[in-house]
Amino acid sequence: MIEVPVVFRYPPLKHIRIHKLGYMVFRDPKFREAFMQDPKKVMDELGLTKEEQDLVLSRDGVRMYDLGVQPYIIFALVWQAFGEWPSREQIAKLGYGRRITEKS
Amino acid sequence: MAKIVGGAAGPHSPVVYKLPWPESPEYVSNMERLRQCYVEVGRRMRELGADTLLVFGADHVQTFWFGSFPQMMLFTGEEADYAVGGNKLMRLKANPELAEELLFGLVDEGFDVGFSQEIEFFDHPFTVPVYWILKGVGDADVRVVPFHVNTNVHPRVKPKRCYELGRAVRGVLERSKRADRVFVIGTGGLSHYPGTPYYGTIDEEADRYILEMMKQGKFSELSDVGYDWLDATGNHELGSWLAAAGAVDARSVEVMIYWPAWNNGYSVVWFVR
Repeated sequence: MIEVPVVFRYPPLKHIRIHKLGYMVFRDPKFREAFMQDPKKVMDELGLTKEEQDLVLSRDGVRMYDLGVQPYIIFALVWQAFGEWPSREQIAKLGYGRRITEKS
Repeated sequence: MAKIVGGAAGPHSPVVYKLPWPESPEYVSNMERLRQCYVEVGRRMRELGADTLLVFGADHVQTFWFGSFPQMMLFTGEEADYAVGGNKLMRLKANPELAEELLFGLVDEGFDVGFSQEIEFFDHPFTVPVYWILKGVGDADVRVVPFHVNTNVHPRVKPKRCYELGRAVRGVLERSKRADRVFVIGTGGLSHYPGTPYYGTIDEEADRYILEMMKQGKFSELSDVGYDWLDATGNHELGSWLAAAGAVDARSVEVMIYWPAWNNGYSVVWFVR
């Protein structure tokens, strides 16, 4: 009927460190503050690889999504981790607004 | 017997709690209209003499983590904190006696629901609608029982199962000797794509289809949809609405508002019996 992959997907195990970071950022204002102060230190402590750290710091939510990161974690990492929200202006800047066109 | 006195459904976006970015006067005024629908739900809930608010919602990886992520979890503790984005806003009494009876009854019915007696906090899927509804309830003593049903992390509870869960909740409460008067809400929706590259689009056609099906009382038919369609149309949280509809034994809905905003198809409905 509609050819769209599952959007709110199962979290691939390979992303467990990124997912844990996003969870902590989402739920814990103190952790979020520590991340904003020194993201590298926080990510080192959680054991994120160099590639994972680069991905987080890129704030490229579109790429994160295409790599399989769970959407609620992306929300935390792209927006909440930096104290920002996906306003119209911000999503345009970061390349959001992709359209699902495969609908029948 | 305990009685389900009514129910409603509506969005839980943190934006509905408080607008975090500057918006047009039109957006601000529509958001206020939406919030007032929840306040009206609270007023009606008070008129119905409800003493317990049962909330079907889906955790967004905030209360739970992938260390342990339940498909269904009923809160059976004394009281709980409610937060938005991890910032705690309020602490509310629950109804552990009723929740326990519900838990045991649902397991007997074949719904293997987990339970929690203590939780650090529930976040916006529970907090936001409850926050506005309680403003309409005023000073009446209402207890809040959160019921997490996973519709947001695959693999998820199917819509049909959500609807059946709601119906089972109704059955258990109808057989109870307790005197609770329960109001039920389902939170989330309608179309939106949080955290994805599709954010900033909605699917008004799908939203209107859902609302039309509900108006016509076709809840069971509607619950035949799968997560392929729900994800494609941004309506992945429909299961919470269907659970509430099943619990209320809704025959139709009053659409209190449908507002196709740029980021979310926002709607509050009142379940009509």
